[in-house]
Amino acid sequence: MALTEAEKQKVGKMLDELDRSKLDMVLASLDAFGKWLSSAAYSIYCKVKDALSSLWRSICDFFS
Amino acid sequence: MFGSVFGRNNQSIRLVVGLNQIDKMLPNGWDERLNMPDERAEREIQRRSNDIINRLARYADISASNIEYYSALKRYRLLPLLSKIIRNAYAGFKLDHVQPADPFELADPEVREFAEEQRREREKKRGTREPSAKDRMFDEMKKILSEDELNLILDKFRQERQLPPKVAIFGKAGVGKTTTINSLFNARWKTSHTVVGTTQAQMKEFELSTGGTLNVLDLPGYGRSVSEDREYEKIYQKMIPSCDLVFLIVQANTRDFADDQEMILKVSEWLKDSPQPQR
Repeated sequence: MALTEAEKQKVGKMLDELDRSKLDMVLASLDAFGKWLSSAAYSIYCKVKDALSSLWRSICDFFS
Repeated sequence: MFGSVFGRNNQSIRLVVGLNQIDKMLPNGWDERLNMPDERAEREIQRRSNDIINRLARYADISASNIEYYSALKRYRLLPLLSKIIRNAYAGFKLDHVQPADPFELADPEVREFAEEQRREREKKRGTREPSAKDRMFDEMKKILSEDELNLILDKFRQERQLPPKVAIFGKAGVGKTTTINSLFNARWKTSHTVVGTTQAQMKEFELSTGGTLNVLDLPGYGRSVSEDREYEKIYQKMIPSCDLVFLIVQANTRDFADDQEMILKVSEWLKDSPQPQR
């Protein structure tokens, strides 16, 4: 049975959510790297923290 | 939007609580053809889940960023759950290539086909691939760090990546541990061996569909009897500090969370005493 318009919209909405969740996974991974770096090499983490933070924000902006 | 190490929240605990079986919260609320909740059920699931999340978080003094609702059986909200796991696990970036099972595989064939078609179109629109976030991150670091510093980080990074992520999974009996592992990590069970001299706790090695290995510490379920719980607690307390993440699964469609609340409280205390995995 072919999909109705309402069903097509629901599938589209679900795909949007999956895309958003994938972005969140990218950001989660960056977060995790930052946390790991702060415990593995704190002095280096302090040096790169701002740059990683700005990368984090640019990825957020790109997808918003 | 996100609690980030680059922002306000640098203190985290290696614990994720998953509220499973949310598809059973409402009778007749699941659209089997599309394999998703209908709109009314979706709103109600979200409302009830958020209530539970707030209750659990308040009781155990953890953050809502440690708790996620999902259905392993229906493969619903597996990506948000995985994000929380990546964010809260020690070196959670090692899990960022995991690809949970696709929910549309369980939908009717014509729905699945339509979703595939839509995905192909979206992919085409996106065009050429951007460099990955990880590549961009190392590019940024190259601009700032000396060669020695960069090599030091790369060495540590490679060493860390060689250690398979170790995740402890437990909850009450019948809460859906096996279905969760299969759907969430989309992994194939390779080997298993008994640990701590009992068949009740097992270390299982999984091969991820996207490559690499995942070690799952499968812990016995609590909540059957006081004497068993006392015995198991010793196992939990001994094993949990060595894990990169503790994943505690709670049944969402119940009203009695007393045992789960107690367990979350205990686990979070043990993890606070051991802020990094003891390897």
